[in-house]
Amino acid sequence: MVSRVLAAVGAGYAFAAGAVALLAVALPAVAGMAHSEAVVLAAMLGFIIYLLVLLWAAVEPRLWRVWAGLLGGAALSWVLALGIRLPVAA
Amino acid sequence: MAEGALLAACLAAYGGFGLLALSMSRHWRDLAGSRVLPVGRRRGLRWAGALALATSIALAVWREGAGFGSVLGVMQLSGAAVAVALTLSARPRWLCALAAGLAGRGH
Amino acid sequence: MTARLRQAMAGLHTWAGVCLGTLLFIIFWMGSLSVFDREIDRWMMPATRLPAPAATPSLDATVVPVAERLAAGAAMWTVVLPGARVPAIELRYTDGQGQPVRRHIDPASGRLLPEAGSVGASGFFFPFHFRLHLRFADLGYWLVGAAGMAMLVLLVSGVIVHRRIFSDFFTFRPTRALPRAVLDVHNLSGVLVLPFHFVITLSGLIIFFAIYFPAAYQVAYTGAAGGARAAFDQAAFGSWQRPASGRPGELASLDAMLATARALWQGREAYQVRVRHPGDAAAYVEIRRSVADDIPMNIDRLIFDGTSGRLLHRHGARPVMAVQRFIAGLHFIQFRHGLLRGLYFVAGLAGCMMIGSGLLFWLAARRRRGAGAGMRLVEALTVGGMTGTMIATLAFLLANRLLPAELAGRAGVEMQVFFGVWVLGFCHAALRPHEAWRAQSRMIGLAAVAAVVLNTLTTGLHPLAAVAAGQWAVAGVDGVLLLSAGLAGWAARHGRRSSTAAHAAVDGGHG
Repeated sequence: MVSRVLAAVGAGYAFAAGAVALLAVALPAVAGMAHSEAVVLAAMLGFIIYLLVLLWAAVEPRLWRVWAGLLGGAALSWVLALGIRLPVAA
Repeated sequence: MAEGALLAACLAAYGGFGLLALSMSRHWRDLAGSRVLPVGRRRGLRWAGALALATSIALAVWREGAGFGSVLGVMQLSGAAVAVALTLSARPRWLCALAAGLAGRGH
Repeated sequence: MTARLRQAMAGLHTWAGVCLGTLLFIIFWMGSLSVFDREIDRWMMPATRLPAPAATPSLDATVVPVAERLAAGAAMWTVVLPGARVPAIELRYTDGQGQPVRRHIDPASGRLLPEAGSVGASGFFFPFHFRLHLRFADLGYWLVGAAGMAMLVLLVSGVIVHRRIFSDFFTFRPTRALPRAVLDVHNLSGVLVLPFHFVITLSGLIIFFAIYFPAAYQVAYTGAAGGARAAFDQAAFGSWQRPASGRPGELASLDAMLATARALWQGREAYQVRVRHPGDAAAYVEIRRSVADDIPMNIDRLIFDGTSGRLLHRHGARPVMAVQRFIAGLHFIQFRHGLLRGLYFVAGLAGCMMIGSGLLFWLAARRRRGAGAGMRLVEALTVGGMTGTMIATLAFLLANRLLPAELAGRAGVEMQVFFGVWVLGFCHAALRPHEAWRAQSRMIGLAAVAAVVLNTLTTGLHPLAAVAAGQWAVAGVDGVLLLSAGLAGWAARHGRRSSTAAHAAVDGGHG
């Protein structure tokens, strides 16, 4: 129970923030959106993403899949986000 | 005229939810006094109720513009639904008149 | 929909509700009060109960002399122009001790009104609503954000748990046993007002997107000169700045800048004028467009050179930002629309009812299984958080009318009264678990009547006189106070009759 709450709230937020960061840098790179606009759109979608993550974490019967899915997803989105960002900054 | 449109919108929302409440067998049984709600009658009530709710939103949008009107329309629907629920629990006779009229025509 | 899914959702609904319900109630309560914060301000600041201004006053004649005297040495001062809800000109600045100051000026005469000695509802209930007056490390914002996410989870899980959502759509059976009637209240106020609850919660979160998801701008603006946040604010909100020069300068005509602004905005009015580096040669003036005409809270702003009055910069929202501003506007309701404002207030209180009845149902259902220490704690927190918060709110209003005007730090004492009474409410609920509910309801009734009486005695404006004088804000606050006194009295009486029913069997769980 405690582990599930930690996974949903903590790892879930890490994943949602990662997805937001990824969208914020990917939208300008892929769709040519202005940076400030992409930041606003990504952050607004972030609340919906986090809501879905929280609901999924409560429903998924196997706890290890919750942890693995969220931590894996968070790592992947953060790596991608920073990967897209760095070449542009250089 | 302007306030009349908003008042009409409120009444349409209230009437619409009243008709939808009547289309539910539990409330029909309590209010109309007859046991069964014919399928055709149920469908008719639902359509009439939905039409009244749509009219209510349309009136609000027409009077207040798309922005204010749609927000006002949605808030109005919530208010009307609460009013119908309170009517059903406190003064069901007010909806009875409507029900009796509809039931009378059905038999 | 499988039974497993519904069971998981029921568990989620119960635990999220029990853990964060009280906090959510407080946020909804403060938010509902903030709908009418400006009206409560007029009640709490009698000197500002002026007639609505007839025409736009001249800032050069009324405000500038006062500001140059009071706010000399401040890094900036801000003028909020008068309108229908705030008939006085507001002047805001930070004093020598770093304390924010808000003074009022009569737009008709240019007279500086005496200090209000109160932060008012807009300075207390409103910040309470979104940051709980916890400034340390943005903790208040994050607690409110967590509660907001929990609210979204509660709304979704509540709809799934309540499986007979459509067949129970209009069902309210107040005459049934208490837990059943309480559950009907919970379901009705939840389902029928669901669109409002969902939109108001999500929009509340979206307003502070930059606080809750700082990752977005941090990653997108890594390595930007002056920091990521400043670079983002400049691009998104058009914040514009330049350092002071250190040389003295004369401020050009603000009225002329307002006229230029009006022309650039096709006749639409400004609502705020901010002068940065006043008295400096590099002073600049930021003018913001009024948000009273439409739902979106526009971020149209103009920057003028302070000494020459020349336009330096112009900003408006880009498309996605415009959507964000629309969502923010839905939440802030700063637009002129009395009917919608009233509906928001009632819907916010319906949210309080939904949260309160949910907690009461859990307590009643739990009590049947015997009371443990944890259950007693939740009970005290629930009663203290609900009726206790209402009493503390009324105590804040009473203190406003009772404290002498010349008391040093009067505004701070008012707030301390709120927190002191709040703590007492929780203690009372913990020590007297069985009587606290009714005793506190009675207290709400008495305090609400006392507030109206005190307002009459101290300002001479009883509710009918307020109506006759066209002081709708004062009349409205008094009217709502009297109405809530009646409701609280009814609740105290009704509670006596059904307190035994509370211990009766609970007929059925959710749905």
